[in-house]
Amino acid sequence: MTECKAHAICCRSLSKSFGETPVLRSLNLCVDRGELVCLLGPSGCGKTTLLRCIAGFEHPGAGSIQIGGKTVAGAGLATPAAPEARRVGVVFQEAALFPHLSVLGNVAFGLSQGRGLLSRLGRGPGRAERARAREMLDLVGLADKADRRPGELSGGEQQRVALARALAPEPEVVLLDEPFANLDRSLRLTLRREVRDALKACGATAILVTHDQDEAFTMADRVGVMLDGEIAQIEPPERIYDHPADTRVASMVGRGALLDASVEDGGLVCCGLGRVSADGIGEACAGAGCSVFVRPEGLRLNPEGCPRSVAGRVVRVEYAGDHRLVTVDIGNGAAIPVKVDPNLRVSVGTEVGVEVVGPVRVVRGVKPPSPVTVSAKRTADAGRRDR
Amino acid sequence: MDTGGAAVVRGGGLGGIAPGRARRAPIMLLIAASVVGVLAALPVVYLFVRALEAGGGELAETLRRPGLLVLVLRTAALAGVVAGASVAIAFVLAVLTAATDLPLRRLSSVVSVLPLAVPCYVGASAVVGLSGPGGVLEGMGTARGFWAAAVVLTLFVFPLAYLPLRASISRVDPRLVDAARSLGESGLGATLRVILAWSWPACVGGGVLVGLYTLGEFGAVTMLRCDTLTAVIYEQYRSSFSRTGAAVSSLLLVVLVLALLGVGGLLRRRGKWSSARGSSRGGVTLRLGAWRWPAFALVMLIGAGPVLLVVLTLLSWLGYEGGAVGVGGGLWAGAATSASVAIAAGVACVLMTAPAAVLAARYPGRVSGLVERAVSTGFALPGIVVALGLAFFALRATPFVYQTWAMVIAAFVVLFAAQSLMALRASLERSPVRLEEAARTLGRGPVGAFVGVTLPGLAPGIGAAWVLVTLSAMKELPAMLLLSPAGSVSLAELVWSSTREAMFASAAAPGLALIGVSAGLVWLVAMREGLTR
Repeated sequence: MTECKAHAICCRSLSKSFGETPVLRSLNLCVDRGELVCLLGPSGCGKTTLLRCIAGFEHPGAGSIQIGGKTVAGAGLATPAAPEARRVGVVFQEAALFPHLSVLGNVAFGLSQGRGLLSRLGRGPGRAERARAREMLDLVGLADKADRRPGELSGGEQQRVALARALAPEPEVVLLDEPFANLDRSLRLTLRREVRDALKACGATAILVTHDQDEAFTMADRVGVMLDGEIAQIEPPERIYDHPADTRVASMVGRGALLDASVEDGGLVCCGLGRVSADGIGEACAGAGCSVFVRPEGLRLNPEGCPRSVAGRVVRVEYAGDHRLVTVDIGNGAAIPVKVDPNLRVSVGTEVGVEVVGPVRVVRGVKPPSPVTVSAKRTADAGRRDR
Repeated sequence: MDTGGAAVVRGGGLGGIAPGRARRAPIMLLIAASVVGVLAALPVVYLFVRALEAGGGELAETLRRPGLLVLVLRTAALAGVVAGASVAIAFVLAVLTAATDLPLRRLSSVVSVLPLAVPCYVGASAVVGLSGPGGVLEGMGTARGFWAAAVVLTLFVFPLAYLPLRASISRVDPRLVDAARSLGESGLGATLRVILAWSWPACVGGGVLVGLYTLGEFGAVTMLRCDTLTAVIYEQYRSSFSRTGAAVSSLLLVVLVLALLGVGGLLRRRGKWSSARGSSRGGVTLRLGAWRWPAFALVMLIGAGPVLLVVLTLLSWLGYEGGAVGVGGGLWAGAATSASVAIAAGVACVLMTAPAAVLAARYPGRVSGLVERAVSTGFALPGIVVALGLAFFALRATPFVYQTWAMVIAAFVVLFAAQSLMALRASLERSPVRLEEAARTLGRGPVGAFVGVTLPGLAPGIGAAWVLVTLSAMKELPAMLLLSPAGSVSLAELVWSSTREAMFASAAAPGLALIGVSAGLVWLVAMREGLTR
């Protein structure tokens, strides 16, 4: 485990159950110093439990956690380290600012660890502590609100104070648990940027948990897709989108079509979209049968009867401002989402052709029972996991 | 770009503890919390033990005692009559003060709870004096017995039913009234029907509360010569050769308590269709029109009338011969005794219920449920039953505390722990666990986090719990009578013994002092219920 000295945080073979229900299954996660990792997953996938284990509010059933090269749980440690001994900062979904302290008092709260209990109670933060707290408030752009009470701040400001409070004692790692979930959409967009900038300015290591794909993709250095208590894939967002590790990740992230395929010679596969060339045949294909995955922007809508395209009928049209998503039934119940120009007017029932123009990827994992569209499958999956 | 898990329902936050996921409570906390639960369960359990020990023969003999059946029936009837009348009065006042354009609504609301400021035995003492020789009501020798007791009790305890009713009626969903009117009901009829349906659970709850109080009432019923089970228990206990009898009678009273709770449960179930959620901007306003001021006068008459009568009577007695004696050394000694015991009981109650409150708010589970149930049992039990159970237990198991203040304080803790537990728990629940967790990640240990973050938020709750218990303890009579050390006299006992000996003048000063204390309690309750706002 010596290589973990290099990482700010390292979880190895982490397992945890609540009663009979396993929540974390032998999970591995290492985060580099200064890195921002976003864990993306549906509710019930165990991402919040993972954060609580790292923070020390829950104790893993098996496996070990190292923070800053120091083991805090498992690996021969008799009792897991207490939360206060871990040097971990947490930003909660609901901010959880101390209502009896001013904004400055909140930020300075974690700075008085060296002092005894009585001296902490007896007087407020000292001069050095106040200076540090002001510095942190400056960082999140709230220097002018230092003397306010938490109740007088807006939701976004509260979250920024919570971030300043978590960063002030220079923790090894900052954990953010869906910090923007309670905010409205426009605020969320600006706050994402501000939080990322603040974290980077401090050089802080951070793990942010979210179920919002946009949030994970726009903020993260690496995105970890969490499914059923394990990390299915952890890579930069581009890799997650372009090279999903398996059918589960492909179904969860973005939209697209998953189709049954059979491998043929010359890097070709045969699927519902015809005979097309595909990436990753060698690495992901066990036998002759496999699954292929194609994004909506990798497909083109052609007039009916066009060469090189597969015939189908439009079953749904969704307008999204900068594009239109057209779902085409190509037979066998396979409904394929195709991204088209927003100005292209198509109506439901039109006979069209679908042509593959972008990459088709062979993905690992259980072959879907029948060719299904990803969006439908995802909803079913989400429903099942939602316990 | 499409959001990946848009279809997914968002889960709880980092601190969200899903059902069945509750953390295990620290063992020391479990033990500390159980202490108050065990103490609360002790009296009634011990009474059972005591009654069973007596054996079938003695038990049967006690139960066959002539007049016992009449006594039980009278006790039940009194509780029923007082509860019914109280709910009726309380309903009228609650509708007037919470759902009409009554003038001076805040004043009217506070006046509606004012009668709580007169302890029933002080009120009874005034009535007995007034109807006695030389009193204003002289010749009304009939101001004794069942109906006198029923009237006096109703006049002074109906606010117990008013409080829940008013809270419920002020949350009536106005859309329901609109719906009823759209279905063809007249304005007034629709509103009253909706209000009654809506507040049915509160009617039953208030009635049960008044009934419980009446079952345990001792001072007023004995003064007014309407002996109920409590009076018999007291006599049996005092005549020490029949202590098994006292235990059996106490158990009969417990049976009545259970029966009342059972009836309450049945009645409440009948009204289940009305248990809809209140709207946040609830409340309906009936226009009284020309009846505004007459209605106001009615509220004043019912709320302030009896209180004024009692206070003026006691004041006039102060001038009589013997009134001065009452103001003298006896009064100060009594006041000092009452105050110090009550203050100590308040502190003991808060200290003992604090672990239980932390357990209930932070680690809800089987143990916390049991403790809460035991503590609310103590609240439902008549003071005399609690006192008797504790006395029996102490005589047998811990004779060294018998007839010490420790016994009295223990009885007060059993009787009033529920009030303290509720106040503490409510304020703990307002302070989220997340705050403590945040403090932990910022370097505080579990104790440091509690002291630094949770405690500052708890101070008002602790204050409220202490004041509630202290004021209630000042008024409590039977537990004091049974358990206080020989030779000591409290304010409550002074009023009781003076009235019994027809020395009304010496009951005046301690009576007024008790009304002053109770007024403090009323003010506190009114403030917490939002009546003063």
